[in-house]
Amino acid sequence: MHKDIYMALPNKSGPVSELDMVDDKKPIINPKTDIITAVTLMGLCVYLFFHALSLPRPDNTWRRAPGGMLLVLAVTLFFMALSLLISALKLYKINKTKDKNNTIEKQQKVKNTILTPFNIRQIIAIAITFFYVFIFLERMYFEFASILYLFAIIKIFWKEGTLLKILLISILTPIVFSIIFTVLFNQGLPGGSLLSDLIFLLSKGGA
Amino acid sequence: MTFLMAFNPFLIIISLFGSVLGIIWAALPGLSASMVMALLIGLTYKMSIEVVIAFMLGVFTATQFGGSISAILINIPGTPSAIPTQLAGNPLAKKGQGGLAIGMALISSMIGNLVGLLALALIAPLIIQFALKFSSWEIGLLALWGVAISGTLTASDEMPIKGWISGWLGLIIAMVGRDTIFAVERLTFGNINLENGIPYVSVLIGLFGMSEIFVTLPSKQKTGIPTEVGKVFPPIKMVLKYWKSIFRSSIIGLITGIMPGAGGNVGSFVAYGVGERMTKRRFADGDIEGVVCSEVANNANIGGALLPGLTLGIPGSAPVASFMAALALHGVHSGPMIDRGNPGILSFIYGALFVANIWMLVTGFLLIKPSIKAFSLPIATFFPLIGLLCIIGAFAAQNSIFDVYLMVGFGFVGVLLRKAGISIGPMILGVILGGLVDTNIRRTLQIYGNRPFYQLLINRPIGTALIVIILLTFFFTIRKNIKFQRTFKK
Repeated sequence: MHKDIYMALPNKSGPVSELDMVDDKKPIINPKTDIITAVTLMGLCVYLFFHALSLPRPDNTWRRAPGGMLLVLAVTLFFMALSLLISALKLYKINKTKDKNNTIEKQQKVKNTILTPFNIRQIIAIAITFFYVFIFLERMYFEFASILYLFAIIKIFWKEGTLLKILLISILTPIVFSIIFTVLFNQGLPGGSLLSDLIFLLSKGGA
Repeated sequence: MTFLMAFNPFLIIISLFGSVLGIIWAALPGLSASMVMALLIGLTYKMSIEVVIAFMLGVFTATQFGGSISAILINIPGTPSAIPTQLAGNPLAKKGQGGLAIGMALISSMIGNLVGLLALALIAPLIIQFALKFSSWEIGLLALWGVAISGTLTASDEMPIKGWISGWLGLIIAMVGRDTIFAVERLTFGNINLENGIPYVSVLIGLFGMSEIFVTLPSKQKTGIPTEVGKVFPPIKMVLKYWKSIFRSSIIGLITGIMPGAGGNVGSFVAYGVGERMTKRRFADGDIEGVVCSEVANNANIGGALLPGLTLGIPGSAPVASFMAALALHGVHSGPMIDRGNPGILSFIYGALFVANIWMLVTGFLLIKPSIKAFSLPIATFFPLIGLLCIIGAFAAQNSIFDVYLMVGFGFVGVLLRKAGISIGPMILGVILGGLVDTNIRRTLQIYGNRPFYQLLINRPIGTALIVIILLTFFFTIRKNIKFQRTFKK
């Protein structure tokens, strides 16, 4: 395959697939990330192993025990994680010998890869969404919660947008969505819909 | 349902809406076919099965072409499968032949689609006849192979094992809830909402929709100013000139579509690479033939990916997995029994695909120029709106706020997986096929009782062949991993 394909995919050395959604912004060969991933997975496998063992075995056999498949998966995943760990440690060792930077520079490098502007913006986006879903939608109508969410997220990420434009998008979108889903599709909305409650009250009043 | 039912005026209009949505969606940078198909599972829940099929296939078909518009004109591929199209097409746009490149991409997409559809209609009955001989043992093993091969195909060259890890995590997620044989609770942590398992709609929307938002929204992507389009309709002579590339790329697209997990991206990349080797030309300097290779393969893939999805219940690509999930929500379970449980549904799907293909051609030519306007939209304005749709979509399937929590949680998991370089696709397949693997393999072992395992191997030769295939899949991937490490050391 032509090398230009690889150039178009900065951090991949092979073709991506429809199912492959690896973030282009992070290098794939990152032994440190792999070590953390492998250790986390091994911890998960240990938990799953004991959970599978704790499940009842109606026939006193593993053949059709509810935890049987889980046990097999936990053990095989453990070995996969172990293989990842060994590979990552080998790569880490190679990288380390190549890396001649002093400790201060290394620490700075680590700090820079964690607190990049992209990562900070990403944490903000995730935090706002979590706030919206776990707090706002629990306490407010979908329309109000969504207006607040959209306003916050668009205001932060759309630097060129004027306040009027941001307000218009934030207010109109939840209202339009509410009309489409509650009136046209007769579909409930998370947090409840003010519009459908109003329609219900009006129809009751009319009756 | 029948083939002709797909030509019902109402369904034709629905398909048209799907095509328009698909082209505009895929033309917008960052919005993939996987994302829109995952979103539509929940959003189409209240629609009838005929409308769902017509609409989703309209969207799916159109997104395969739509990604090429932004790829050619502004050098940003709308979908990952459009990257080869971008390489060959954007230099043409710079020379003022962007319209012609898009026109050829559209014609190629249509031809690719028709080849895929033809193969689907001809091969599907044969596969179904063969698959009807499968017992629970073979079905369980086939599902397991689907997850394993998907892991192998989608993992990066550096760490092939990461694809399996993703698939295995999906299988573990599928174990959550009461088991189907003894109703014993597994991994529910006493939460009543988890007793029925984790709904794959939430997993799909979370991993493909929400995590994409978390990754793209903070990336400060800016789109360029669209170039002049110029002439759009390619002369017939030009189309006929590339018949060899069309034929070759159709076969490549079809085969990569059938392979679980490979999908349109692999197809278009392989067809592009093979095309360069065969013609001994460098497509990246701007070459219509490069666009043809990529787009034909990309679209032939639809029929290819639907083939194992509909006949065996093993999706060939992420959008097909979503399509199957939407069908399942309407009580249509993919697999060898699909046509028996829902007589005529396969014929109807062929008809709907045909209609979608025609609409893709018509709307494609009509929407090329207007869709360029969409490029000027800042990502920060439309990605949050898609976030809202993700939330509504996750809620709609069961009217449960817990599903929304799960969806957002999986969105976060998706971000972590991407950071770890783990592909998401195999996990989706694991979640969808995990139940099949668990129930069928345990059921077979129950039937065989205390008899020795080798009897099972002797009595079920297809199952034994599948075990060999699974082991070979593992063997070749491990070998690839070892090879990479040796190369890296050097």
